[in-house]
Amino acid sequence: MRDIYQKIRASEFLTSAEVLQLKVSLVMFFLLLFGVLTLPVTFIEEFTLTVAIVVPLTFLFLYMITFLFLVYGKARLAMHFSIYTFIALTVYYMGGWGHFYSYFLIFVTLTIIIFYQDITTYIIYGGGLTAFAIIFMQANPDAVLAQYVNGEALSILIRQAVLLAFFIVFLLYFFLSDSYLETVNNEIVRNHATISRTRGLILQRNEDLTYRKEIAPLYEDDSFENAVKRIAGIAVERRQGEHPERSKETEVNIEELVEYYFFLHHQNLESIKEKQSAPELALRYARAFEPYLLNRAEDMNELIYKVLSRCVPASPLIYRRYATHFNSMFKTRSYRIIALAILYRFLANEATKRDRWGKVDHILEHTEIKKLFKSPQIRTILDFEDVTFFLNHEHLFRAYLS
Amino acid sequence: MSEAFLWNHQTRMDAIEREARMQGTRVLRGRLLVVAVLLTVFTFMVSVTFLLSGVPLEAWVANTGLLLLLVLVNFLFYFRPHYFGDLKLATYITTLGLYLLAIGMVSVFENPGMFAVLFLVYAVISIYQELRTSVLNGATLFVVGTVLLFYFPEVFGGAAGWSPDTLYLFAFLVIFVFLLTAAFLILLKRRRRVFFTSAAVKEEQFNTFELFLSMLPPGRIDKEAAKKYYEDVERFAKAFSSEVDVPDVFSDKLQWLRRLDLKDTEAAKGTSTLSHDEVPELHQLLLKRIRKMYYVALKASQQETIRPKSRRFDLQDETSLPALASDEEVSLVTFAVFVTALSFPKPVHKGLTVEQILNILTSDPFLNPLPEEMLELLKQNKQRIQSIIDDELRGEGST
Repeated sequence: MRDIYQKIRASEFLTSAEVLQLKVSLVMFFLLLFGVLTLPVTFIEEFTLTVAIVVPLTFLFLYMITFLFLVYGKARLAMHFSIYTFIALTVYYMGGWGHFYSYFLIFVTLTIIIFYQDITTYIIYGGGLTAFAIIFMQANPDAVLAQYVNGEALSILIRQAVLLAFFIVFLLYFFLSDSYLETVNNEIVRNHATISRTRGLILQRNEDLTYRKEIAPLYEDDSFENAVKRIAGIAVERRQGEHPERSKETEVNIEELVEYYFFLHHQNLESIKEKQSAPELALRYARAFEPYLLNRAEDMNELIYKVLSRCVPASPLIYRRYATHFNSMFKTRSYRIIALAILYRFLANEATKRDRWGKVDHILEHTEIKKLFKSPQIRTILDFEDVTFFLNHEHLFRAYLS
Repeated sequence: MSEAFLWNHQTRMDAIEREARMQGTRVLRGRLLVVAVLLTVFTFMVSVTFLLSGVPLEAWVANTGLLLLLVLVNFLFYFRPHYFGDLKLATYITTLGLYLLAIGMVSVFENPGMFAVLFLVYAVISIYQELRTSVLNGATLFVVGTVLLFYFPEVFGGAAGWSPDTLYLFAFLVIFVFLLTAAFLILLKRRRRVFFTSAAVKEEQFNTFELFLSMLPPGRIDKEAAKKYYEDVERFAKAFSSEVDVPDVFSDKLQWLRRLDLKDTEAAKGTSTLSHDEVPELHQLLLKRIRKMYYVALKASQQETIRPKSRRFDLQDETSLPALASDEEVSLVTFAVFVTALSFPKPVHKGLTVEQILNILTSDPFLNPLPEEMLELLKQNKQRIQSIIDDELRGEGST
């Protein structure tokens, strides 16, 4: 339990799969508690021997399946089986046991389903259970809470209404929660894509400038290669200090490995990987180094430019710092028009795209800006109103701001 | 650490935290509206139920009046958030008010089925999805439920009290409160992290734009460039005003922009006074001091073909940093390449010192791709590594 508590406290750092596993573990704990508390009643009540044996066995069977799925890392399946177990118990108690709490057991089962925080699961199982309970109460008014109420129609109606309202309110809760997270998700994905593209442009610009200034790129620079060798040597030294059992051979390998790393920058990796005759070791390292080559817009460059982007001065803007949609940035129409004019002027005068040779030298033409403004993707920045304004006065934009 | 680095780092962290908090407030404000609408529907339903059940008029007035008051509180906080400062106050008032109402309903009807109204109240308060409110919600349900079960058995028509049935119901209550509170804690903690990540990604996006802008040829985004921008926009605005035959409302604002951005003290002379509300909008447009509009334009230029995948959100997938290779030998090489590449000058950047690299990596745990032992290696050998880099840059290195 202490471990579970610690995990709940640090749940924001767990993956979705780990959170699900944690939830199933908790539910299983309560399921066991619940089973131990309620199942002995089947022997006290006036059930047939078959029922008295079958119910606990079914419970044990479902519980074991849930447990096994959890142990074997199939948390989603375990989740479904824990819900089945609760639903089975609820249906059994509702049908065979006219006691006070069978009505409340429906809420507990719905709670278990809600606990998993999965809208589809909630709609299917929660919806099914709610519908069943409402119909059941209608058909058997005496079965639930029988001995405490006089069975009048309004009383049953209230119970049904409360149950239905409970289901609907949590359904609303899920829709609100899901739709907001979906919006934030899309925003993060979109911003990531923008960062990745801009980083691609930075990398390309770096290569263009390297070429124009007639200096060697890092992976062709001997002093860079030497520095890498010497720093890798320090790392090997340290490792040997910590693990003296490792042989001197490793150091030689590191030097060779650094050379092989730089050698790969001038090779077609695909052809090396496809070559049947290539030694297995060479293939292994070619695959391992692939994302870390300096002439590729992959992991190594992503890391380097991520760090470098922290070295630029931070924007001093505080108010609406991250707002990029005109609706969030401006309330006054005239400021909006000024912003639109600045936006157009930048796009029409600065190279923001690759040209046909791949260099970051392409400045958008008026027709391209028009196409961009008419695309649905620009809705993250401009409103219909801004686009209509632009289309109505595009000749002015073209004449004064290009 | 240098003062400039500390200032930049602190500015960024403050901005990210502020944005994450604001996202939470925005969500809560939306939820106030949802709860207000929901309570309006409930007011109608409760009124009808009370009328049909023939409960005394004073009970009807009290319950309906309380519900209407709660509706009003939620609407008021939604439409006038700045009057109250903290929106959570509305959620606390609604929580306590609704439980009071539920107690009233349970005692009026004296029907065990009515106990479920407490669960319904719990569900309504859950809509807020706010951490402290969720804790208050769980605690109030537990206290109210327990007190009703054990000390007021008459409201259950004699079904409650110290009977086995009550104990079972109490067990249900414990499961209900514990599981849902745990579920909300997990959800809200994860959501807070999502907000933080979302803000951090926005900051990273702006930093990347700034890096791109720093690579533009000289004279593209400096003071002179900003002046040229304002001049062109002014000519455009004048042409627009004369074309649609309206007074030129832009000149004043552009003069103010020049004054604030370029310190052109002559610029705003003779213009109308700037209202307090306009200043934040004006700041969005400052091209030399703030550069925000350049960022917006860069973002716009990259948007055309971006299509977000519609799928379930997993924070780790979205924001995880590429790790250095897991293979031991390869990781040694990639570590050396990573540090050296950051230190060596490039056309787009003059390169960092090992000290600066360490400052950046240790100031933000989400930015550090190095395993703990590699970071330790860098810390312990920073002077040695720096001297290797200096040697090689001077062309005095030896293998």
